[in-house]
Amino acid sequence: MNELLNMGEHQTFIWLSYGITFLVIVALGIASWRRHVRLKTLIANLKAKKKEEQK
Amino acid sequence: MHKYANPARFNRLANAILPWSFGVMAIAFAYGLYQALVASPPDYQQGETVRIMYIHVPSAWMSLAVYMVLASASFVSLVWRHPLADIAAKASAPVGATFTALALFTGSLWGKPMWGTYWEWDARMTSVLILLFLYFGYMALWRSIDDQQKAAKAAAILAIVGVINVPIIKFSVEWWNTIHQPASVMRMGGPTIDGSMLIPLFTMFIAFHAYFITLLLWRMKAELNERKIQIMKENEVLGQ
Repeated sequence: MNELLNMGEHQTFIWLSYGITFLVIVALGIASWRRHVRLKTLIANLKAKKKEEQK
Repeated sequence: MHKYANPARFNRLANAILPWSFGVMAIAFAYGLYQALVASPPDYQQGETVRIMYIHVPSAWMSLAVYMVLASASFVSLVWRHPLADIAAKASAPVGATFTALALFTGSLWGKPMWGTYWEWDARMTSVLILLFLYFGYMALWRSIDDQQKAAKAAAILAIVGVINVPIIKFSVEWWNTIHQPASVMRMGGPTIDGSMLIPLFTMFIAFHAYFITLLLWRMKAELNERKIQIMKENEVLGQ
């Protein structure tokens, strides 16, 4: 494990690059997925409410 | 292409693609990271620092590829008024801006140990920074104009005009003297990089592509639903 983590004299630059990249990628992924799910649920609720009102 | 302009048909297609794109993304990221951080050798000149290339280069490629998707969709939206085209363009902009920002950030962190500086106002870096501003401008136009049709038109024009920056970025390292290295993968005569480094590079390239497709479909579906909700609410108000 230590061998894997040890990236030589410039390891700060390497780990910072990978760390920030994957943090940003995961954050944008989660935000996009959550927005998709939230709006999907909202539209399903609105459709159900409309159907209920029509009855 | 016009048959997919129907939102219901698009949703069916997106639902079929999403599990595959997500699966490819997860596998390619896992394998790509293993290759990039463990299996690939250090460079004989740059040492371990070369590993930044496996995230910097795919980010930079994607920043241009996503911009071409955005500009093409904007063109289709402007000329043929394809209903899903401006949704695709709008949905791809934040992802493209993220790739561009990551390319600049990782490039800067790679530049410091290799060139001795985080930033230099040379042709390649400056043109990529302009690309980031084009993405920001595109998103700002969508937000600043209330009328969605006018916003789509203004943003599409900006996106199409901005295409001029794409060949400038690509050929900047040949047209001007820059500290950035010239193309070493996508060049006439084939790549100059060793095969052991091309494997992680292309695996990460596939991962970044699958990531973009997954996010584009989620964001397009969300945008479609948002517009449907808006219409339903407007109809409700008019009904009352």
